[in-house]
Amino acid sequence: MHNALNRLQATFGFFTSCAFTLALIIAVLSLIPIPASTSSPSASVAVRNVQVVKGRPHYYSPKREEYAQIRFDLNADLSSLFTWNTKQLFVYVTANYPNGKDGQGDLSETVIWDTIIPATSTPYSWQNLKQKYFPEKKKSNSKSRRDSNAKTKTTDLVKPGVLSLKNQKPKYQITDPSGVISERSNATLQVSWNLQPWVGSLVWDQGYLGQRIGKWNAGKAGRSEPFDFPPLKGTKTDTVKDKEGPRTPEAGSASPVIEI
Amino acid sequence: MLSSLAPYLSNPRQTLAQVLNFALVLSTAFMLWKSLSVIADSPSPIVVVLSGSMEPAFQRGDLLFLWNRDKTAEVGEIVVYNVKGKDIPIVHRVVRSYAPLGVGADADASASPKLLTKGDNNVADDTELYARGQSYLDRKEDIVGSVRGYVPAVGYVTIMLSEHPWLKTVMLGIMGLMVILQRE
Repeated sequence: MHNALNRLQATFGFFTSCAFTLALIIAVLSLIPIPASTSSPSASVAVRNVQVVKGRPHYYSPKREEYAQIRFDLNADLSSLFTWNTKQLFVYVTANYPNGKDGQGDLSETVIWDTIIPATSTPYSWQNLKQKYFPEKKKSNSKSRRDSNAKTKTTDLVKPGVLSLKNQKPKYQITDPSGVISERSNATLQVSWNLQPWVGSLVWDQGYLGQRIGKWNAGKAGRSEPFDFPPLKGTKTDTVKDKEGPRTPEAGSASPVIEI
Repeated sequence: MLSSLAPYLSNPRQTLAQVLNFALVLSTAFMLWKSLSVIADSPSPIVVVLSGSMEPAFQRGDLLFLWNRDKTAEVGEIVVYNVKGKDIPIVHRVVRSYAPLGVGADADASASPKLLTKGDNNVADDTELYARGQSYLDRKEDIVGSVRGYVPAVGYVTIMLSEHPWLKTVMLGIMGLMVILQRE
């Protein structure tokens, strides 16, 4: 009964249950604020300039739509969100506007700018452990490697999650399914974030477990003053969103673990 | 051939118990999967990421836990959706949500927001990935679930199994042999 195969099986079984228990403990512990965070995330966003122009989605498209370009200022200190179980923080600014002409109705939300802030490397992160225990053998490369290491060390001193943008150009020009976005009133900009852990549950600024890390500083909820979209500027259709025609994005495919 | 089976046949009670044991293992796994599916209200509550368009958030082989009990999908949520005519689900982030037209009394109660998705690692949004003539997703019709939990790398086993189908047969065979051959 105690042959090699049995032992191998038992070892593997024990290893998997240990690994899963550890992952579960990490996932649960990261929901408890230990060590207690010293500050709560805060952000402020303000509109600089809004322009609405006519354009088409890409060069070969016959569709003519109105596009809004919103320049904005953003100041945010989200460094308290970077805990020991943070892989990255996705920060995004949305323009929210009611769909009715009179400033009433349900909100439409569109992302105008986003960024990914990865967690900075620590002495225990994978790259550094690999470098320490399995250093690259190649001698010729070692100098440049050391240089890049030095570089990462200097970036380590910078606290991740502090954003300060002045008159930032939006990444995405927004439009509406109706094709008309000019002269809409009561719109606001809002800053939101999505926290991605190394293992465990994802956290948004509003929603699940929001009370733990999700709470904004009172009065500092990252929301701008209401603004109105201006009337259409010019009548020429000179703006083209994508210069090179339609681009096919890579499909981020996923598959069910078990197919029955 | 029959002579090798003789020890099993001489003690049919034990053999039957082992076959029953094997069936128990299989049905427990099946029940766990199905009850998870009922809890999350999704046909596939756990999915494996197959490609890198959501990097660095999700790499190939990461395991995602889905939740499908919400009526709406907010901007910023990462959803898994099916495109009509394609059988591989796609996991991307919702970047736009347009409220249905009509205000107050003339609002259509059944209308739901139009959603647009984009992969974090992609430059362009997903309009090109959707079915011909479709430019927005519908929460109820297209979306399978929204990502709530994350476990890195574990799902790589599934990728290995689906890319090398013979591994599946070998593993099932070994599993069956183990359970049946193990006495006690």
